[in-house]
Amino acid sequence: MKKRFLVLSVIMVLVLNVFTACQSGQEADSTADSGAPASSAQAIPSDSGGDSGSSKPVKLTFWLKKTFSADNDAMLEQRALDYGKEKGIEVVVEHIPSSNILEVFNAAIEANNLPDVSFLTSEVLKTFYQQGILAPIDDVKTNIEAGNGPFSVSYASAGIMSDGKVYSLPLYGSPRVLYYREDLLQAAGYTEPPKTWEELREVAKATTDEAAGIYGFGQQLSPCADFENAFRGMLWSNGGSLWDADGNVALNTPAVAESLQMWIDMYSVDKSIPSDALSWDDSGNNSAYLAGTTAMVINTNTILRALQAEGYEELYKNTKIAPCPTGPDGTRLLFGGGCFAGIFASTENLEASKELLEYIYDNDWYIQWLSEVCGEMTPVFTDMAAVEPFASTENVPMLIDGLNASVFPGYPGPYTAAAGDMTTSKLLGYAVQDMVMNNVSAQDGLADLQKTAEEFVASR
Amino acid sequence: MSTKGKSFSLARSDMRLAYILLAPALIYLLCVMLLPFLWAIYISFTDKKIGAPETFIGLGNYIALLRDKRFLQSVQNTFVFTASAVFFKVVLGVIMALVLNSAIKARSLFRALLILPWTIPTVVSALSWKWIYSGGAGGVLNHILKLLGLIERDVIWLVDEAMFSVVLMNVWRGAPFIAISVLAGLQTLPADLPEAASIDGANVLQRFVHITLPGIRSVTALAALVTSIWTVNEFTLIWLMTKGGPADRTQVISTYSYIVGFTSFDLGKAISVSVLFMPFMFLLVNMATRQTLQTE
Repeated sequence: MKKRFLVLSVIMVLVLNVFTACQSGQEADSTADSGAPASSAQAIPSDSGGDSGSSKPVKLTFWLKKTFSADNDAMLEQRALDYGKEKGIEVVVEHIPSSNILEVFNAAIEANNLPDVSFLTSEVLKTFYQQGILAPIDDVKTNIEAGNGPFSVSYASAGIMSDGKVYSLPLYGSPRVLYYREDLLQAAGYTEPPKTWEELREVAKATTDEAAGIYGFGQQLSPCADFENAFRGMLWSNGGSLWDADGNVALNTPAVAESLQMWIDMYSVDKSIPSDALSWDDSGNNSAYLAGTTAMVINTNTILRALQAEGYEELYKNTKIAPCPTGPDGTRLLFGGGCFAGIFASTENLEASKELLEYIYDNDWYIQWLSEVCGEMTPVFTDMAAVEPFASTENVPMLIDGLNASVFPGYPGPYTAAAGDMTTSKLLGYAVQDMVMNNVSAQDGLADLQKTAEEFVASR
Repeated sequence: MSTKGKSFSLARSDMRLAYILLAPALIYLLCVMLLPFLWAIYISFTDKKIGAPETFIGLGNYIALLRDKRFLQSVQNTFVFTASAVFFKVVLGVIMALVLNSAIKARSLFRALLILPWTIPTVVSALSWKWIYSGGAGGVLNHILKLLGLIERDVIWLVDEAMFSVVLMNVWRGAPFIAISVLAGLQTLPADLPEAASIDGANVLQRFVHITLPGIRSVTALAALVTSIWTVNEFTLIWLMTKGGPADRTQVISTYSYIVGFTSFDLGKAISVSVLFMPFMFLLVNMATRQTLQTE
């Protein structure tokens, strides 16, 4: 009997070890393969502690989004560490890769291991508010605006929740713009960039040269943020929407079908979108443009930053930036991209967290920070458009216009958690991929998607 | 004390020692594996969403999954991916092992080179292959095939031949493991048997079928079972290359579970995906364990 128990124990140990081996991702892999986000932390040991009279040393954890600009990230990190030095508290800064943001947040929420202060993306604001994990920061907003002037109304509105309180503040904007190859457009007979989406389609057709490997419009048709955001901008500008004014899913409409079909036709009929765009992730459109294979792309300022690197001199010279196309009636609406900041309600150091946020938004430092990366991140204060160096920096006025034309998931209805979740779950991207691969029209595909989206919303 | 009594006492103290030595591993497994495992089973019977408390819903998740076209597609894809990848890995691995076991020049160098794919981190391999498969500028595979006159237009590998592409990459990575395992088995075979058979007039194929193959059958079967377990669980490669697309054509159980859990926030359903597949995994593990004990 005991021998049998011993044998069974050995077998169980072996079996569970095999499971462990499976889940560890095979012996040859390094730990980097496990998908854990690249993060680093720096800490300054506290030589005096305390927050509001507490004898316990104060330690703040601050999560930063790892952007395409190492300089930007380093400056922001140093600013947070300087705050810690000044106040004699420990500040730990961790960098979260943008490809893993959702996974990292979700894991931290479930493990109850959230930082004190963190960046936030626009898609998660309402969801986090609904989960009750954000702390109200109305006083922080008031203090910041006293020094910097008012926040951009459209951006600030995303952080105001249904109880009227502020739970998040925009940190910087990344409005989408149209990058275009002036040389390719000129060769096709165009001296100006397209003003409307219809014009963009025509210009894309004219600049496509499949034999030479050049495509007019380098945009994804896949489940990724770039597609979700760029398509919504096009849809809203054309007068369509995925939600109605009451916050219900309403995407099975002629307006949505028309815009979606146009996007699909650019790929399948015009062939002005690269063939492998169906498999691109968020870096696909950047890579294609930087490889010189696309004439136009809609993106944030990340491409501009990349073009300033060595080796892209010729491409940089030929690249111009224009506002995103409008709808037929001149409406231009963009998806509100960029970065927000907030404080998690689980913090044990609320006052210190609020002070850290205000420290980062200090007028002089904020202007200096965004000046260093000017052209990539847009200041989110209305009055800063007239402040140097922004006032005389090329493209900044256009970017700030883009901020003011930004709306958020759920438009024209309220920005709800369900709308944010539907954006992050990329239902639209999966659906459009399905439509193209299975040769289904947008009209037919949207009927299925409406049902899927309603079930998705009902399950929230 | 009689000899019989003495040996019984020794056996008892051996057993006690065995339990004591096993205890740390068992306690570790209980805390780190078994308890979370049981918790996960419980969560699969709830409507747990990230950041929200759970409510017991019985078999709700399982019923929803069995009606979910995407889940059923992922099950089918998992079997197709696993069966084809394992088959080719075994065939290629055995061939590699036979070649590496023969007296060829620079055998050690070839052994090192052929094992390289298995040792390179999956992330590096996946991103390199993604570049190789690229349909646009820089697509090495298309370039080579066009130079050889095998294709006229670029093939969009990760769109039009997505399953083939991920299987090929998995086979490239996994065949060396089979090769190493079979090679180890080949080197335990007596050298005089094939020689004797050769003298008796047996040709290469006959020697392989009647002497070599029976000798390496056990180790090949075990290696195939272990690689099947790994292949069924494959996530990193598929996620990095196609994210289960396009249009779920390479969606497997692991990637579907990830999507449901992390991008749709539905933890209960995500865990149910894995739990539904557990019986099949247990079957594979049981077969591997029996094979191990049989070999001993």
